[in-house]
Amino acid sequence: MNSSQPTESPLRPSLLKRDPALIPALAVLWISLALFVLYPLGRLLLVTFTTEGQFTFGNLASVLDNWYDRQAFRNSLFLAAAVALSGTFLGYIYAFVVTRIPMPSWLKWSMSAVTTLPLISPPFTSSIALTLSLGPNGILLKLLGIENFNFYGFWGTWMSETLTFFPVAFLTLAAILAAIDPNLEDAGLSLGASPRRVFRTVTLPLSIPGIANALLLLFASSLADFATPLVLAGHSFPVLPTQAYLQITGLYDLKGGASLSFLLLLPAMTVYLMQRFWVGKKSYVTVGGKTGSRSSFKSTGLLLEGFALAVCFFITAFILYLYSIILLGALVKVWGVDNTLTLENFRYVFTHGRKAITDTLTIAAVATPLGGLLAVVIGTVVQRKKFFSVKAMEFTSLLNYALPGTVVGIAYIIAFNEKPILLTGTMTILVAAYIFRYSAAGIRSVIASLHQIDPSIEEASASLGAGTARTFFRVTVPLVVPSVLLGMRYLFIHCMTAISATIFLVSVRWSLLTTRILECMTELQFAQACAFSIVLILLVFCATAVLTGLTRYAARRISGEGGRS
Amino acid sequence: MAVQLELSHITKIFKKDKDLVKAVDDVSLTALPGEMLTFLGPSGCGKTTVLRMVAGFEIPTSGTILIDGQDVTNVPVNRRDIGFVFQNYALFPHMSVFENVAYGLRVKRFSEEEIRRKVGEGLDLVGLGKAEKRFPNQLSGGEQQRVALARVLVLEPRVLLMDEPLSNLDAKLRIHMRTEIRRIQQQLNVTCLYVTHDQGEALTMSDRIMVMHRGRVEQIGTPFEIYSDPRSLFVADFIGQANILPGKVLSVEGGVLSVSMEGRVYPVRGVKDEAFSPGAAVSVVVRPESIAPTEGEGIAGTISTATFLGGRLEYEVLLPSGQTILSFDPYEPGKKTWKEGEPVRLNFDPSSSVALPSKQEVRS
Repeated sequence: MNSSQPTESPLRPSLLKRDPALIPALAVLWISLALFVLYPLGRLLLVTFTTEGQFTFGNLASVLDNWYDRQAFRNSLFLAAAVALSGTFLGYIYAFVVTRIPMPSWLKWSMSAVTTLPLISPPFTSSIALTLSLGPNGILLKLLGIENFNFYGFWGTWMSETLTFFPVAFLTLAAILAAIDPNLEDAGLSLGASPRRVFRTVTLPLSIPGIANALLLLFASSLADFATPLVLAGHSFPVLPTQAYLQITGLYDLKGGASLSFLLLLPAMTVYLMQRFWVGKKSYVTVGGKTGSRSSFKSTGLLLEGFALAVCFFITAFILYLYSIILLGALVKVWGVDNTLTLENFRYVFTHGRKAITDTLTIAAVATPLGGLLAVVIGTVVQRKKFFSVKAMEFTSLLNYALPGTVVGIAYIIAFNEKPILLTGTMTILVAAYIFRYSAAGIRSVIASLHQIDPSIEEASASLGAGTARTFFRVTVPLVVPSVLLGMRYLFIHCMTAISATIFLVSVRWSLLTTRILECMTELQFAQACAFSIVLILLVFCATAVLTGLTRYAARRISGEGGRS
Repeated sequence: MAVQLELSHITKIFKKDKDLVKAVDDVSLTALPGEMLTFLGPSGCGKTTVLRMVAGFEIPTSGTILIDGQDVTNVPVNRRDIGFVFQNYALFPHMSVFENVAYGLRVKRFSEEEIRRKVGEGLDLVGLGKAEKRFPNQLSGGEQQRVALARVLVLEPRVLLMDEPLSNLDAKLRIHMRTEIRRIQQQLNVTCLYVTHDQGEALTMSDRIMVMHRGRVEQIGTPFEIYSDPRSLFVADFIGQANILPGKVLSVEGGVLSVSMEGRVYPVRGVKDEAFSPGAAVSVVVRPESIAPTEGEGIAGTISTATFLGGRLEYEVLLPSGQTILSFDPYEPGKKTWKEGEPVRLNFDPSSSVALPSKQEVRS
């Protein structure tokens, strides 16, 4: 009878009367979302579209009149499209190899593990390693005997961003490919199609929604990427995020910066809306449905498999190579000049960089639990409560995540640099920026896991006499703990490694590891930059390991195998 | 003490894809103290929605709900003092069996000692005294449903509400659990509303049955009344199997009509509370077990299928009018059996049949 969960009748008495905890919860959520998501965005638009209190397109026009800024706009879109294509291609090959080609499980595991390295690394890692390999005096260039190779500009940025972002496509596509029912492919084969024809006519079409999603995700990531172009793009290849940054930090031109970030906001919003309202509804793959007995995936033909495997091994080896370059770079005195091994660089990190380490860890440690709480509350309200503003709340809560970091950063300094809400220079602004930007993963995973949990569990609690608060804390929260922890892990990683938004918000009082790495890079202290990166990766790695362990433990407790003795 | 439950003029309108759907249409009923009242109907008839409104999960669009004379229409679920047993059990997967059963007791702030005693009693009542430390996923479906029952019973709810609690169990266990639930309900003397789409369940467990169709009440009555005195063709057809023969009233005498059908005249009982006049068209409900082929007098027809089921023979008999009649004939050794294609006469006991006014739709 409840198969299609009809919504509440419009003619019924107030829900609020029966669920008194809902009003304060909604109020708190809306106030904080308004303050840290809508207000900064509104101020950004206000600065972009007004001059001395008058509405005007003048600011935007002056940016568009500028040849260099126009070039930056074009470059950004071009770069994003190129990265989206190459990254999705690589991601598909990886996903195909991991889900379709029989391999020893340790090999599969280590290939997946290598692809997660770029996901947990600070944004400069591949840029530094690529600079050391292919930049001036790069060892790969020397090895291959190439001279006069200009690595800076489009090619370097494209290469680095592809390597950094393709794992996102891999994860998206691997989930889709693994969920395609092998019986469908068997059916194709049994109808007489060759393996390659089955791939072309069954597997590929079924994965198209995933491919579209991966393209959009990568397009957005590249569009928003700030760190890579800052290091690798150079003056010949300006892009919007770095232009906006330089406009503000170099020329103190808030209006110009705001206008540039508005230009950046347009394609980003387009992608976000496309993802939400178009791709989101197009999935053919149903996960968790009833299928017949699970058949194994069949071979797709040696040629195709051989090519895919070759690509994977090459890329995996290259990523491993890049990370060993970082490690090596951290251990030598001066890269390429004085190759004596030394721990001096690490000493530098733990003395001069000590404040950055403790500050970063403090901020991450404060933001992670708060973000976890935010994710549970928003996720629960959005998924479980029937109330008129919840759809809008979901949209708003994911908005900062969809916007490029540069836009959020600029919006924050515009909004919080003066009274009534003066927050610049404080830890609050950094924590708020992280929470309202990177809780999105947690919110999504809480919503997804609540989707799996039948509402009757909570109704059972209510029918046994428990109020809303008790039901929430005793039943809902324990059940979604694994997904909250998953979200917290994501949040923590980004608190440690993010730079695009927070570079505008750091101050003398609060410095961050990522900004320290950037300083080292601009002062050409590559060895110190490498050492900082290594320390950061190790910190992130340890924290993720702890959070992953907790997630597993919590998941086991819920399935009831462990539990109290 | 068992309490009385009253629903008066309950209507529920849902909004579904911008259309308004009347899921429950003007339902009134009174469940007597200690009564087991079953809501029976096809899926989508609104029976679960009524139950969920009694529980407080849904709020009626109009109408009132009284428990023990007290208006609870706008009282939240957790203050209604009801016990709800879900179709999918809804046990808390992160809690042991003990903690699941103790959950409501902890809400009510019983002492730890009392909780232990009551949980023990509750689990003993459902025959799961030794499963305290296990987790829901380590129990079979039947055991999970017993825990769900114990979890509700330890709270001594004023009203017990059960939403198809046995539909996820296998057939054998279902029959066992029926008697178990009925035993416990009678032992505790608690007023119980029980939703099911399984007529066997409804007939065996209930004091009274409410048959619902398209959001409306078709009939409320004891299993016997529902079966032998169906107030509508829908009820006749939904409960058990029924042959519905068209006929015409010739005369009325007391409650008995002479009805002409298939060229013969039979004295048939008219359904209660309906007035019949000579000349009116009626539908006569004849149960398959009260009609059988014979070599003597009766309605003429031809056997179209004959199936031997062990205890009985099932015949489908084609009448000249084109209608097919279903007949169950108990099997005894030496008794005459008919084969497909043989012409027969059908004899039936008119006193066990009932006539309803015609022009009613059947199960649409």
